Formats: sequence, C-alpha cells, structure tokens
Amino acid sequence: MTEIPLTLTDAAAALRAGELTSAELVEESIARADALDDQLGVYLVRFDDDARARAAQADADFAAGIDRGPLQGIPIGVKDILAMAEGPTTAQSLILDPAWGEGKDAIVVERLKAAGAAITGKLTTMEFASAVPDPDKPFPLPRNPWDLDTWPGGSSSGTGAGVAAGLFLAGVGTDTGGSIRIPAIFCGVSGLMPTFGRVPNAGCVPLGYSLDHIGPLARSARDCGAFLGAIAGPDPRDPYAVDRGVDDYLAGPLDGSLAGLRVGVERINHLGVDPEEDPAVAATFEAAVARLGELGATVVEVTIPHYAEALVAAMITCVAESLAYHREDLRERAHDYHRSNRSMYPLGACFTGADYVQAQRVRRVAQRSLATVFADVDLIATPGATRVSPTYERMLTGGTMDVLAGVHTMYWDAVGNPALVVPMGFNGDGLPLSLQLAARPFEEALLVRAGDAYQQATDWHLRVPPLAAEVVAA
Amino acid sequence: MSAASPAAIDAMLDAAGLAPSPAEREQLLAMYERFKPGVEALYALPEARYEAPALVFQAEPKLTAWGA
Repeated sequence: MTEIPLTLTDAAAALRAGELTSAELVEESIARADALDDQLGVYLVRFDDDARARAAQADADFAAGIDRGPLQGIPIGVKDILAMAEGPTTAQSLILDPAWGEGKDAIVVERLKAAGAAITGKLTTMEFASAVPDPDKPFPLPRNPWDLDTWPGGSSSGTGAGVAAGLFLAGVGTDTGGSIRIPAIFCGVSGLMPTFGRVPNAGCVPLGYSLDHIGPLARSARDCGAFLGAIAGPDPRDPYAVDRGVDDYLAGPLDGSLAGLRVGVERINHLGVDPEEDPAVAATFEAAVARLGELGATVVEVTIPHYAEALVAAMITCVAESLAYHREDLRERAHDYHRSNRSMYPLGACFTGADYVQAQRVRRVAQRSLATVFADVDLIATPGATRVSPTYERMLTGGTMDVLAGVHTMYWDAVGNPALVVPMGFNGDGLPLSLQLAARPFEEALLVRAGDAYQQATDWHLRVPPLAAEVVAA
Repeated sequence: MSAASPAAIDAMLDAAGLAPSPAEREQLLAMYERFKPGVEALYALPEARYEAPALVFQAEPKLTAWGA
C-alpha cells in the first residue's frame, strides 16, 4: 500500500505534474478494496480490469496532451442504482429486473466516462435507496469505517464509506431525503446535493421522482465542485433536467475568504429539538459558525419557514411517488423486498391523491417563503445531523423513522435548493459531525466557495479512519 | 379531522392490492398515525389556499426517452 493524495483535486494536480499515474491510483484503490472491503461492504461489484483499462487510457491521454478535465484518471465509485453498461444494476434488491438498463449507461455515467474517470465498481446502497438494510437479504451490510458496529449512513452507503476509507477518491450518490448528505455526515466526508434538475436523473432507478437528486461525495468541497462540473447540465432524455448552462464550480474565488457573504444560522428547528441530540453537536456547530465569521462572513440568525410542513410534504411525496413505482411488484413479490420497505412503500396507499397535490402546494409555499429569507442571506448554516451514526443493533430495531429523526436534510429535498455538508468535528466517541450549508437554487458555486474556505481553515475533512490509516501504513 | 381508523387503513391497503404481514401492518399504522396529523395540517396552511402545486405538465413530450 502506498500514500496517495487524499483529495481528488490534489490527485488531479499530481497527475498533471507527472508525480503520479492513473495506473498507480487505480492499483492503490484495488489494493485497498482487497484489504478492507470484506469488513466495509462498499462494493456490490468491482470492475478492476475495466478500471485498469480506463487508467491506462487516461495516462495515454495525459502523455498525448489530451485533458478531459479534473476527473481524468481518477478512481470513482458509482452507487448501484445508476445503470452502467459493464453489468446489471440491482438497486441492492431482488426485485429490479436485470434487463432494466442492461448494456446502457445512465446519463451521469456517460458523462463520467467521457470525463475520463476510472470507475472502479458499483456500490452498496439501501434497497431502492430507501428505508434500512435487511440482513436477511443476500447483499453486504455496509459498515462505517469509523466504527464497524455502526451504519455508514445511506442510502449512498458504499459511496460514503468508500471515500472515507480511501477505496476511491470520489463517488456518485443520490439524495431524496438526504442520501448524499447522510452518509457524508456519518462518514466524515463532504457531500453536495445539487439543485433539483441540475444533474439529469435518467438511467437512475427512481425513489421519489420530484425529490431525487444525483450528486457527488468526496473528501472536500472543492472535490465536489470538480465532480459536479463533469455531471451537471441538461439532457433532452431527462424530463426533469433544467435547460440551463453549467457554472464553473471552481471559479470561487477559492481564496479562503468569506468577506461580503451573509450567513444565516438556523438553530430553532435544529438544536434542542432532538431528544437524543449528541452532547457534542451544539458546541461543535457553534465553533463552525464562529469560524465562518472569522473567515469574513457576516453571521445573522434566521428561521427556516414552514420547516415542519415541508418535511411532511416531502414524506408524503416520497411514499406516493415510490408506491407508484413499486405497487405491482409489492402485490406480487412482497417477500422479496427488504423488511422496512414492505411497511414503508404501502404507506403511499393510505393517503389520497388530494393529499399528494396539497403536499406539492405546500412545497411551493415553502419555496416562496424561503426565497424571502435568501433575499437577506447568501447561505443558511445548520448542523447536518444532531446524532452520530447509529449502531446496526439500534437501526435494525428502531427502523427508518428512528434513523431520520436525528438528521436534518430532507427540508432541502422538499424545496430543491442545493446543500453541502462538510465535516466539522467529532463527538466524544470519535464519530464525525457535520456542518450543512444551503444556498439559493443553482448557487452550487457559492457552496463550494464557502465549503472550501472552511476547509482551508480546518482539517476535519482530511481525517482518516484508523482502520484505513492502518492499512495504508502497513 | 381525525386519522382514519385501522379498519379504514386496511381497506385502503386492500383496495391497492397490498397485504402486509401483521408486523409490517403495525409498523405501517405507526407511521401513518405519526404523519396523518401533519398531512391534515397541510390543508390548514393559509398561504397554500390559492397556491398552485409544484407540478408542471408539458404538452410536448420529450422526443428521446433514455434507454429507448
């Protein structure tokens, strides 16, 4: 095992400086997967030979002066709800027809390949990206590299755990109620949920059609910006993709300053409301907010409007949209679904069509009200979660709602604004805690700038789980 | 308006052709009872009275379906 750069952007710079080859990066990724994945359960399938071939192509391209952008030659993992021609997509389920997407790439996968990424494999998730894992089904139970007894978060579980453990430098996640940000929070890495419609969803198994967002998990905010630049943008095959040009998400300025920005801090819906709030969260969050001020931001107090109503609207939307997709399979093959989904998806049958439409009216109300808050601030800061990653024992008995009770992500899925999480410290047991920043629609570049400034002043995002550090040292 | 009774939930599930096990039904009922008051509260939100839903129907279909 050898030391390689921790961040995608540092690796990209090293590749261009001739200090490293993509072949070396990919071999290191493979070696780490060999050493750790039996414990972590990151991969559902690995594409070692294909990744080696893409690395060789990337190195040849560098030698020929061909530069396809910052993902060229970078080892990247893909959540197994996106179609990829190299193998069938399972959505970590016995239900999904293997013929779905067979031999095809999701639009995002097409773009990653065109960007020269070395895709190392398909990654674990929760079944159809929802509820909690089922140990009775024939899939790996993904583990958190910070504590193997705990869950890495989900549903982009393998992506979060894999980035944290250094099995690849970045990966694709999807977020319907928090599934990019929750694993990023619990695994101590960065995760960026883009604006709804910023990244095309076609070729990705749906959970909630009007809530699903595809985006990156990586070590740093800057990495997430580099990744987003490769996958964002409209496509006529996706009905939800917004016909709007793509920003340069690294335009910054990435000078470490937040001068001129106003940050609204939201406490009332986040702190002191979770009966099981970790005792380290409040102080860690206040320290992160203070750091934003030290970096030049003007910090003010805000209240997110219609917070509780938006959460209910998102939940009703999700169960209704997911039941439409799953009803026939649930009728015919319920026993093949994971336990928690067998009780969650049918919830969609217990509310009416009018309830669904009312939820969409309330989402619009929340958007309008939120826009008035963003008229006065550029960013909103909250803790990403008020609990650390739960143990499997707790999660498998407590169920989906228990897991969601301590995370504060779903409001942003309801309204569609982009949100970034970045590590902000650890609790008393050494488990990661995260700061969440949200912005106006399509202002992902501002999130990258703010996250980057925070990460220039801190090193939480560069901490490596001891399990992974020991493997590299060995 | 109060939440629907367990019998009414059973009827809705039956109408949808869904037959959760007794344990799954109990979990589902717990989630329903947790969310139903919140759903009713969505109708009571004054700002939503004349709001249009966040749904957009486009008359022109997309010309190319992914995977076609």
